[in-house]
Amino acid sequence: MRDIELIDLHMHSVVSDGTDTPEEILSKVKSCGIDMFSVTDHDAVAGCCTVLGNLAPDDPAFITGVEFSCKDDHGKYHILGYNYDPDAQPINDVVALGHGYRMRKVNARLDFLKENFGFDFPKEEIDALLALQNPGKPHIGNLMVKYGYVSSKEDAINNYINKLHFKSDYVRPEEAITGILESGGIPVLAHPSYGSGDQLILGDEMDARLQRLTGFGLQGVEAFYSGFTPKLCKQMLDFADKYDLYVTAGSDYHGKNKLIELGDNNLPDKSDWPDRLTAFLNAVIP
Amino acid sequence: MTDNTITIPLQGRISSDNAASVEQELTDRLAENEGAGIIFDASSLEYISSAGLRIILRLKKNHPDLKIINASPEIYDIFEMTGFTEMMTVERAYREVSIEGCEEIGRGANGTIYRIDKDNVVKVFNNPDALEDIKHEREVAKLALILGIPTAISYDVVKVGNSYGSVYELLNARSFSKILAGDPDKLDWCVKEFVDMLRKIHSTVVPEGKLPDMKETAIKWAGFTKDYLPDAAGTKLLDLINAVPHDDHMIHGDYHTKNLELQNDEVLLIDMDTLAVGHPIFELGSIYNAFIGFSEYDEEHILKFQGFDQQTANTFWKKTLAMYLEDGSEERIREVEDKARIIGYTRLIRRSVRRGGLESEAGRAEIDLWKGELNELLASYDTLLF
Repeated sequence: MRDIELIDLHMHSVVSDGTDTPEEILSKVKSCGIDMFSVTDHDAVAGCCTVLGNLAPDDPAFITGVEFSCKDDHGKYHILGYNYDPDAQPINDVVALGHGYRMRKVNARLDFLKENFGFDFPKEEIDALLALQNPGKPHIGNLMVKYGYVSSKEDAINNYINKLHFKSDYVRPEEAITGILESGGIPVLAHPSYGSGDQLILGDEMDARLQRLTGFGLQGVEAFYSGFTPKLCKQMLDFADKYDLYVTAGSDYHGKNKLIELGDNNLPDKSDWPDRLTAFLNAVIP
Repeated sequence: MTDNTITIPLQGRISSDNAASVEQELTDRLAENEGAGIIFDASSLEYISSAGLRIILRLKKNHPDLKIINASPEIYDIFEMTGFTEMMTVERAYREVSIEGCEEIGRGANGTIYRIDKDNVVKVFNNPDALEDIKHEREVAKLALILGIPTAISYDVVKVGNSYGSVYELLNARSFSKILAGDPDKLDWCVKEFVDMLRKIHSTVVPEGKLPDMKETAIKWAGFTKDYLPDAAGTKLLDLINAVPHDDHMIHGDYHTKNLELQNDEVLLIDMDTLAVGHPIFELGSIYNAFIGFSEYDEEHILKFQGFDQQTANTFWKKTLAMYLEDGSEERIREVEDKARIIGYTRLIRRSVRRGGLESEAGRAEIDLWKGELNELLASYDTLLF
């Protein structure tokens, strides 16, 4: 097995909201010298299956990944699952659950836009949208731009799509964690300090969050993350010590949708890797 | 801003709702100004979520000198909690303070101190771009406090008109100048406290490299002033200063009764930006100036500056020197005073010439007086040590 120095365990393909196909991701990972990677689409495992089917013997090490959007009465979380068996029923049940919730939301939004603003789209566009693994607000926004209803995706989301408020269903964190564990995977909290992406969860609040999630079986935290300062990273390493958790590293690459580069996760040189990261790698690489 | 720095405003709320377009806009602005120093002005930034923080982090990777100014307390807190303040310069928005109608309670080389309310004073710096000076003073004041000198540490930086000021808590405090002006009977008590503090300063050893060396400053003064003296006198002046050995004890650099405050029963030293290390003769030179040198030609000066008359100033200086030397002999006091005057005049001549003193009749007369005295003193002494 190749020596692993550069890793990136958090990236999105077109299966969710990235702009690269899984094949393109594999090719980019190779060209930028990453030794180990995972594709972590939102609520979907299909991208990983595609990568697995395209891997050649000399390719970088790959582990299956997924990022579940979860919510309970205490807040919102993104929970990564690594190294699960993609054919296992439990994880596919969670994907189906999330997909069902998501489809209900997309349909509700399309109805809302039609009824309130008269925004209508050809049937083939709607069919294509619903056929996506993981359609969401950005996809609807893009359609609105394409059909001239708005000038930008932001305008579409902020001034039209977000006008619909409804209590939506989400996968619960314990459902995601259990599904990952029962499929042989490792559940890890994504970008912990930033909550589900746009909050700031620090100190006691983070402590309470980890206490709850480890109670459900959480096993790791993404302490090395493209958007973290050294201080946030250090805080998460300390929490990993306190709760005896694995540590992972990811960029959250989305292709052209965000200006994050592959492999950008502030991970130091291998000689300075924390033991908890090495332990994670040992657990997932045979 | 200067030619190679551009200031870009951050406005309103930055969150995941608009992060993508804000990032694109900022990236475009930075690309247009390739190679320039970048300052983000957060004056009208109301809120920044983690999506916004991530943008700044990414931009900083390509622009390591990126800095943020005018952060409101709420915005600053976010940058502080998340560790941004540890990895880049984030400056707070400064509160504005007016000194209109405020009592002036002190005046030093670099600024003037006003009482802004019952408990607080502000030192307004002369230099309009004084943030570095303020930082320096805060650092040296902290150092002095750690080394056992009672002083006030500024707790806030404010904007005063076009200048900056640092704010100190000074409860119920009165300067020694004010005490002397209002209650001449307190003179002996003031001298004793003044000398006690002076001894405390001069017995404090400062770790190497923490404060500037006063000898080097004095060499600069002498290098300037020698050109206004006869050749032999000028050379001797420089030789005498060069021969003063290095001394790692603290000196205040601007020690007089306006910079000593009585707060309740405690005596506090303020106006710390001139703190240095060096031989006490340099300190005595500046004390001589504060009480006598500055007003030697025009005695009205002392009344305006200290609030008491020249006679009080003379008595205060003599008694201070006698007590400081712990040796009452007239001869000894005269000798040390003369040596202090050598340093004092060296500085006064430079100061006056640099401020256009040669351009007025009164200025020329004053400079001539100091030159004459200095020339005579240099002929009488072969060392500045005592």
